[in-house]
Amino acid sequence: MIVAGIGWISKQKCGFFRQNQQKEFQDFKSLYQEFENEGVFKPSEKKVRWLNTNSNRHCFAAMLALRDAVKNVSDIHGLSSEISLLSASEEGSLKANLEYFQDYIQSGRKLARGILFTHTLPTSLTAETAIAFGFKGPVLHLSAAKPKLNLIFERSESLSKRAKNLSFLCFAATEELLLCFFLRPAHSKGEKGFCSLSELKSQVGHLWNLKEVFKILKTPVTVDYL
Amino acid sequence: MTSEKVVMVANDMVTAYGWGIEACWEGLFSNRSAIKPIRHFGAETTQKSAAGIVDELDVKTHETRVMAMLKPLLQKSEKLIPKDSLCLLATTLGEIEYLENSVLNQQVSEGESCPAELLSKIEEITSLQKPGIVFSAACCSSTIAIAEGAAMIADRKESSVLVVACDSVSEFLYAGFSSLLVIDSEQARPFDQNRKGLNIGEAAGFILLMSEARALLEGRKILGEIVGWGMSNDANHMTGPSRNGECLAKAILQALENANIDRKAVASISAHGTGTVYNDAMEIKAFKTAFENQALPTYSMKGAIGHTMAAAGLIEALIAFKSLSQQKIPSTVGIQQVDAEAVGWISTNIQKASGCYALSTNSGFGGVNAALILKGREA
Repeated sequence: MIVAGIGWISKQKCGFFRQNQQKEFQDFKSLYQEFENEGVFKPSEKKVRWLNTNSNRHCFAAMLALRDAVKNVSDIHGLSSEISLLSASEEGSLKANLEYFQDYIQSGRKLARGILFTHTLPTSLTAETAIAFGFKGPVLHLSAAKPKLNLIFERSESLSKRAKNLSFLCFAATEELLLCFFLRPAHSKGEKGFCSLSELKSQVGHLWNLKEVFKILKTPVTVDYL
Repeated sequence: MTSEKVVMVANDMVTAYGWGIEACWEGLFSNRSAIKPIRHFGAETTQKSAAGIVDELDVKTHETRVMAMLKPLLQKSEKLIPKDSLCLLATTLGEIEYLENSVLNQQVSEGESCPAELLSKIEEITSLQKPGIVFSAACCSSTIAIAEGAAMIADRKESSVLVVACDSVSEFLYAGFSSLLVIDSEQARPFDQNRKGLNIGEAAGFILLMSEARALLEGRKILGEIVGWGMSNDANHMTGPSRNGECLAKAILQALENANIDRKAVASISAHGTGTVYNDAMEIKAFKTAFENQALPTYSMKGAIGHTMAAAGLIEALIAFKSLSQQKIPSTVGIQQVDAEAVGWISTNIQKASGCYALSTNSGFGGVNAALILKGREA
């Protein structure tokens, strides 16, 4: 597997690693417009319109990771049905759970809000991203008492053994920073990537502090594979 | 390099029928539903409500229903579980009562409800040495945890994996499903022409998976084998499945391919069968696609014990194994008149099984789908 692209998004900045670009943004609408005319692979605007801030972060991080790897959607044949979305976090959906239940109690404990309830699953954010893009690979969220990036990298490797064409968007999220790694099978001739998944694992797989990961990854090394 | 065979060497569960697989098996064969009124919380939303509740749970002060289900199961089997096993926990909400209490009376920190906290407690009860992983994939959580546990063993990354699954009936969950208008106020009737929705339920259980080589070396009794698995996503809607069942069919076909068996070798299907109009319609379409319209005895347990969320896949896999060992297929508890699209598929009476493979499927919010192919051992 190769790391084809890495997207990142913080509260006011976003960028991608392989092409070493970053920019500031005001809101998701303006960010979306900036990429609109580039022929970039982007999610359906109709579907994105309804997303909350956190889901939008995930959608745009996915777009940036894909943008890091390819300029046009046509560059990746049959991409949409063969992408799996894996995510990891420390607390799962704790904040969404609190928001939903507090709202229900404050509203008189009679009727909850369905839209808030659907966000109480740790997979909600990646599921919404999958829906926005039309990605039909497995969606899974992993957490642990002491999480590390290898949680998602190792599951990607495992899943790819039994689905050779499957690519992965791996999300690691903290409140300040969201990283999205686009992993692809390394079987295309001349395929360029940021590095191999093995290299990525050995460099940052044992970490969870995303700021530290960010610093380590900041100097891109583009490698030709095959 | 060939894959290791993945076998099941220990298991247990608790459902609304009571403690153990036998209680659930006998309950299903009595054709009596275990759905009953909810009494342990009393919000107005839940008036006249019913769910698959585990009776007389001994919930200790400062503990939760999830822990009251899990602790006796794990303590009873603690000696059977090797200390070098990796624990995979499947849950959607963990000990959600802690979060409810933090909002209602500020007695505990909401952070206590995080599934990773529950995982640490399970590791302590079982004295496991390796740090485990929480798997969340909505109502496919335990199906995917079993699949990934099997993959770890097949790929020789682990030789013993403990898959634990649990979710409880809580006000948090009940109010949420009520808001989506998917709850049947009476007993759910999966695959029925007049089905109105689901009943939520609570359950907990575990499966200890091992490589066959290790199981034989340790003289363990082999109770069944996980031979194939597949997963997919509809990418359609957060709470509604795709209408054509194409992605569930894809997961089933992947599982069959992974198991390296012909679809004709499958003796029965344990369906997700929630009792909602769209889920059940989607599933039948998927089965027809995957099995090229060759009907197989298909049943759902959710009219009997409710939809047990993340635990559903594990509980249903254990009953599917029992069905293979007993060579009997349960009926779909609650069914009155089979939906026209499901005629010929849905088991309405106890049937004799013929074959050693069963398919167990689950689907969930966000469009997740998962399928397991199980190989039984005759009793």
